[in-house]
Amino acid sequence: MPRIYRAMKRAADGLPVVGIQSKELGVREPPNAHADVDVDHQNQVVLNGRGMSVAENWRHLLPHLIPKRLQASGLCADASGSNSLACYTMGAGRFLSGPINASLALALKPNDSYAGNVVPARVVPLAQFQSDVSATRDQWFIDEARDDSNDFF
Amino acid sequence: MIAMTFFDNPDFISYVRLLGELHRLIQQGRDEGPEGDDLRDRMDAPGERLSREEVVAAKGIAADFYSLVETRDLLPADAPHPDDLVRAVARERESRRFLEALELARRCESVLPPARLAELRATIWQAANEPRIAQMFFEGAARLSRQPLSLKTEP
Repeated sequence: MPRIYRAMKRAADGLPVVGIQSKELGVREPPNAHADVDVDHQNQVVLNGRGMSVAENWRHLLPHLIPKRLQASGLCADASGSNSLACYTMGAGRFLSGPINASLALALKPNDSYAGNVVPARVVPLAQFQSDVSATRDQWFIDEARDDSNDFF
Repeated sequence: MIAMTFFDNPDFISYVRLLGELHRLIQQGRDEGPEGDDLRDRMDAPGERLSREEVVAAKGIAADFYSLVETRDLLPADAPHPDDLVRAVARERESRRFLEALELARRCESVLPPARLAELRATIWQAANEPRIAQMFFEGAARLSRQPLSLKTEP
């Protein structure tokens, strides 16, 4: 299972907020103009590489996704995101396209090997995909460490 | 070397413009609210389409915006300017190699007074035809020029 990072809103229990809005554990759904996935006429997720965006390390996230407290603390010079976000991670393997679990997979973005999307492992209804993503909630933990902790491989 | 074509990419330009607006809110302490949330949401789509090189460039630009509000150890304002470096920035700017100019300007951070550096960055953004971002740096230069400098102490 690849190690993946995602900036998400932090719930009261310290785990990511599950939902269908930006920066939540889940994907934005059509007809949202910023939908993260495409669906077919049966509301099944199209397997085209689109999904919930993740990165190889929190340091590779876009500036607006990294909470700005990490800039104030000297950890990240470009961090410009809301302090309501936290950088979560799950998994413990190389950041390569492949299975995350039986239901989900990582698909790297074609233009950026440090970024990817969590996608369905097979064609499923959108609701099932959302359920599969939200089922990972307990596996996410906050990692905003100073050092690159990806030196396990 | 980063190609100047990044400034021809509408997604890169869109992201950088929104980043500028976001930093204006951050400077005003108004980014942690609906306005900031909306702005950041609008940055998702163009940001998703950036290449790794463009993401790296955007990160550098975000750090540049912070230079308008941060205090740091500096040389005195009357210290000799790194003329060669400043001239090199100007050459890149006049050649419309804006990312290279911005990168060179970052090498001036430890040797130029912050107001002078902000002004230098403003001229790059002005040449890149990004007047709102240029204005942010010109305003920052004016503000910083009125602040007392923190002098670098020798060990």
